[in-house]
Amino acid sequence: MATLELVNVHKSFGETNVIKDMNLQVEDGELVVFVGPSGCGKSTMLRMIAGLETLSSGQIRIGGKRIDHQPPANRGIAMVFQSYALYPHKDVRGNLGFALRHAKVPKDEIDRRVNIAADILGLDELMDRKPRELSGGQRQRVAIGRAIVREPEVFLFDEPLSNLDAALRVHMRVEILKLHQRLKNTLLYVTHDQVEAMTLADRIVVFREGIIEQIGTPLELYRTPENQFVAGFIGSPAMNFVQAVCTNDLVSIADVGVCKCSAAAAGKVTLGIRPEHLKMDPDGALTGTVQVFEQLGGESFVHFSMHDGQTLIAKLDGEYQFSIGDTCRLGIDSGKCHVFDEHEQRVS
Amino acid sequence: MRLQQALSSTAIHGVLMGWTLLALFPLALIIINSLKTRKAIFGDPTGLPTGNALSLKGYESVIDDSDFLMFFSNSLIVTCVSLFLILLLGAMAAHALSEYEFKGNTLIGLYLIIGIMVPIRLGTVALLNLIVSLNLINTLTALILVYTAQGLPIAIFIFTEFLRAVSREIKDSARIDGLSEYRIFFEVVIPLVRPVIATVAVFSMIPIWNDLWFPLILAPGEETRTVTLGVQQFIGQYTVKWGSVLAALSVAIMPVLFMYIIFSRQLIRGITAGAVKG
Repeated sequence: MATLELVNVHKSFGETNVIKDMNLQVEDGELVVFVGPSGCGKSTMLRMIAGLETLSSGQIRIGGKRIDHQPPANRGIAMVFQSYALYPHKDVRGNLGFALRHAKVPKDEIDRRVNIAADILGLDELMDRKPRELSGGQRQRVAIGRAIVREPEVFLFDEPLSNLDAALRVHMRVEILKLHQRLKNTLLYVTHDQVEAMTLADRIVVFREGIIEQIGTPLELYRTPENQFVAGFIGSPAMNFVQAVCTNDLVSIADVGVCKCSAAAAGKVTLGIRPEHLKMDPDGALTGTVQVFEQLGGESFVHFSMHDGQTLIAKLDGEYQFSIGDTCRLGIDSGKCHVFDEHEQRVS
Repeated sequence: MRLQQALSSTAIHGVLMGWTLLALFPLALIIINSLKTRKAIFGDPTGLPTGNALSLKGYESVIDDSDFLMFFSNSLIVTCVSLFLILLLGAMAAHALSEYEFKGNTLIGLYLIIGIMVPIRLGTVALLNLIVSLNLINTLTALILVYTAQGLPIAIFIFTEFLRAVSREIKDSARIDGLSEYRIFFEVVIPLVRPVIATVAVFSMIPIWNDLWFPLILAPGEETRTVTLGVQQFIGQYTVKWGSVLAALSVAIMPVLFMYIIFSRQLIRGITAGAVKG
């Protein structure tokens, strides 16, 4: 059983605390995505699981066995890197079989595993090519193949799609998802792209400055973010945050009641509303002036400024036509409001 | 516009060819005169060795009258072994400095590289004392040790820059595959810096092969004479056997020329590597 546990993991480089007392349980076969802004510690955490960094304290267990004292090759992991890290002087077959040959696995077993990986990833035609003769997407597939061949308990993917162009990224995302459905291995995936996180993950772990802000399924994070950071990180375009006041269980912006809130949040609050939950409404609560208008064909992003200077982005379905300076009224889907207190924690 | 490009191209080629001629002229002079009679050398220095001027006496004298083969092999041994040590130890030191974080990394790096600024010849007297006290006077080992020390600083300096550019992820990938740090160095890192090795080899080799100073001081004995010292024996107090001198020099030039021709492609790649992001 390839479960992964992080127990009170702590990592500091000198005086700087990079990972602060992290605890996490990953189930067998789960695809967990570590997501967060640059420098939040997600890659460091992955490297510690791989054995490329030491822990300052704490334990890492795979399948119940403690592995943080083991060298990388004995941990039952395989890693796919952002820059593919293929051996440039070996061809694809050589790259795929390298680790096994080094571990003195019998030749026919090497050939069997290499052929399976090549078949899964569509590399059969490319086996004699060197990495410099491959495209970015092909190289990435070879890197994934190299990981599959090791038959690890846990796969570790470190921003594997960041070096690919946008279209290829979308394609490879689907390929990785299909691969996971086929192989059913435990997979840890690090990315700074919340779209990748939302589309791939069984569960997402949101990192900020070495701490886990929230763990949950993509929809849990989308519907009930526990704080402003997670709310603003998940979803594209990002959630709008507006200064509001909560009195008598009602959140108001500019004295206009917008949605309910719990009694716990009296006084100044931050109202979060996703761009897709704002709609054009002639009786809407909010009035805004169009500042920027982005037309994408099937949908439009409109940037409004309100009379008190705050800006909102609305995502409107269909084709709209606006001019800069137009005044519009916007309605809010009251069931989709998120209210945060002055400590940026969710209140309702 | 095209005329301008053609003119500037011609000018650039003109300058480069002029410089090539200037650099190759002494070499050509030595080789053509090594094949001439003494009379022809002084009578017509720039003339070709044809007809009466042609003479192989210089080469005959070198082979018959001296132990030229031994001098040549001494030079070859000293240069090759020194080069091997400079490349191996230099690359390993540079890898350690660029790859691993440890206390004193910067200080050790500075210590190793500061040799570039200090001319080794300043320490000749101390070196001589040291070699004598180690009973290594008149041995090739003394020369090898001194040349290795001489060549290491610049080798480490050049290697460190290029080894830093080797992607960390490829080394991490090898670690996950279970390779030891030594195997990572020899099987993953070294193949990636082959052009740099060739560059360092050529830069290191030439001052060793051509050196007269240390062979004269540390190993002037009959058995350990190098090719540069060996040529000296044709230069007498009253008379100089020019034919032999030039013949010996022509032969002495060959290995360096040969090495350069082999390594030149790698050398050019090494020099231009930093200029293009790839």
